[in-house]
Amino acid sequence: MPGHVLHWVDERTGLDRLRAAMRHKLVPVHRHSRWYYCGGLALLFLLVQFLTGILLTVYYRPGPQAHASVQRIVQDIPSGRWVHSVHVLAADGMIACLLLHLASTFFMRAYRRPRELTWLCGLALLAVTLTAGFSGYLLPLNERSYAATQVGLRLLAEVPAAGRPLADALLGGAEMSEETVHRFFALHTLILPNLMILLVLVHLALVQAHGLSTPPGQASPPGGHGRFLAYWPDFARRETLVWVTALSLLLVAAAFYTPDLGAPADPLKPTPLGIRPEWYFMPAFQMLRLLGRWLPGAGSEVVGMVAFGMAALGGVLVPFLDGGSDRPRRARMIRWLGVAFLAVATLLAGWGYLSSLAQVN
Amino acid sequence: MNAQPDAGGSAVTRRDFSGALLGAASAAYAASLALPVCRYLAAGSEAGGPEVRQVVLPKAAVQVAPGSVLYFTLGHEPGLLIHHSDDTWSAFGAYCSHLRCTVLYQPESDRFFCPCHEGVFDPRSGQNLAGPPAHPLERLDVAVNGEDLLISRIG
Repeated sequence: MPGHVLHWVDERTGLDRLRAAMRHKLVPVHRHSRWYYCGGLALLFLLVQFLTGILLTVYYRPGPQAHASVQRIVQDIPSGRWVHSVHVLAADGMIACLLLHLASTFFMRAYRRPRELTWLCGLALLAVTLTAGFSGYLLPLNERSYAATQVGLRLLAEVPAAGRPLADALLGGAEMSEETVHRFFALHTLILPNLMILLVLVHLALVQAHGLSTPPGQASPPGGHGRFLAYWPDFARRETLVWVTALSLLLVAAAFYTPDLGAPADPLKPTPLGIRPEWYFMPAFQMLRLLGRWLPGAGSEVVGMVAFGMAALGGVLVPFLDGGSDRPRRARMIRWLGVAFLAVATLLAGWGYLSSLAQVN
Repeated sequence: MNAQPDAGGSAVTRRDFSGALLGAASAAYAASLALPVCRYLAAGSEAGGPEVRQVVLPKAAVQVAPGSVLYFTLGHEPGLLIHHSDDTWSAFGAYCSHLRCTVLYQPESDRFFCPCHEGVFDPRSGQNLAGPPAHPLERLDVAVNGEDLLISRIG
C-alpha cells in the first residue's frame, strides 16, 4: 500500500499503534516453543469453520429435510462433498488443537498469575467449541446423531438447577423432533459462533496484555538473558508458514475423505449396534459404560455426574491450586494429576473404540 | 455532594444509594426482558399436547413372527411389541430407562439390549438386569379386542 494511503488509514484508525504493539511483542524461544502454534492453529480452523459453515447453510435445510439436504450437498452439489468434508475435518482439527493448546498451557504452567483469566477464558472457549461439536453432530439427523442427542440432552437435564430448563429449551417439545433440529441449528450457527468470537477477542486481548508465558526453568524473564523472537515479523512469518501448511493439508485431506452420513434418523428403529460418539466425547462415553458395568443401577449415574463435575471444577481451579514457585511440591502434584488424567482419558477412549467394535462383531 | 456519616459510623452516601438503586433497576429491567425470552423458548415444550395413553394396532397389520418385535409410536415415544416364542405377547416403552436410547431385541440371547451404554433388560418383565439403567422399561398392557390389539399405558 502506498505510504500516504497507509498514513491516511493510520491517522483515522490508530492501526499504527497496533503494529507498534506487535513489534514489541516477544515470543520466548526454548525447546517447547513449538507448542505456541497450537492456539493459532485452532483459530485458523475456527475461521475455516466459519467460512465452510456459511457455505453449508446455503443448501442445508433444518427440519424434516435435514438428512436429505446434507445428502444433496454431498452427492449433487458441485464441490459439496469437499466443503462438507472440510467443515467436518476442521472441527476435528480445531478441537485437537484446542486440547493440545490446553495441555501445553497446563504442562508449561502458563496459567500462573497473572494469566488465570486467560486460562478460564480458554476453558470457556473449549466448552463452547465442544457444544458446537455436539450441536453440529445432530444437524444431518442420522441414526447416530439422534441417539447421541438423546443421551446428551438427558445428561444435561441431570445437571442441577439450570440443566432441566436448558435441556427443555433445546428439545423444543415433548420428544426430539424437527423442532429440536431447528433449535440446534440456531445454536450452532448463530449463538455459539458469536460467543466464540467474543471469547476469542477477550482471550487474544488478555494474551496481548500479559505477553506469552515462559515455562519455569526454560529462560530468563524479559530483561534477563533469555532468548526471544519478535512477534512481528519473525514469529508471524513462521506462523504463516504453519498456517499455510495446515490449511493445505486440511484441504487435500478433505478431498480424499467422505464423512459417513449414515441412515436417516428413525424413532421407530432401535439404536444401531456399535454406536459411538465423536472421539472427543469417547472417554466420557466409555466411563458411563464402565460405571454401569461395575456399579449397575442409579449409582453409576451419580458417580458419573460427580466425576464430570469434578473434572470441570478441577480444570477451573488449576491456576488457583498451583502454589507458584513457593510451592514446587504442589505444582509437581498438579502436573502428575494432569498426566494421570490424560492417561485415563486416552485409555478410556481406546477401550471405548474396542467396545463399540466388539458390539458389531 | 459530600455525605455526612451518621452517629453509628456507617456511611451510606447518596451516591452509594443511587448506585444500589440503579443496580436493582437494571436487574429488574434485565429480568423483565429475560422472562418473555424464557417463555418464548419454553413454548415448544408446552406444545406436546396431552399424553397419549393407548394405541390400537389392527391384528392384520401386526406381522410379528415369534421371537421378534414390532416398533410402534405411542404418542411421541416409541414402543415395542414382542411376540415371545411361546406365543405370548408383551409390550414396553422402547426408550432405555438410562439415557433414552432405543433398545433392541437380541433373539439369540433373548434380551433387550441398549447399544449406547450396554444396559440389559428382561424381555418378559422389562426388568433392568445389567448395566447402568436403574429402572425397568415402561411396561405396557396388551389386550385383544376383536381384530385389534390394544396397547395401553399402565397406571
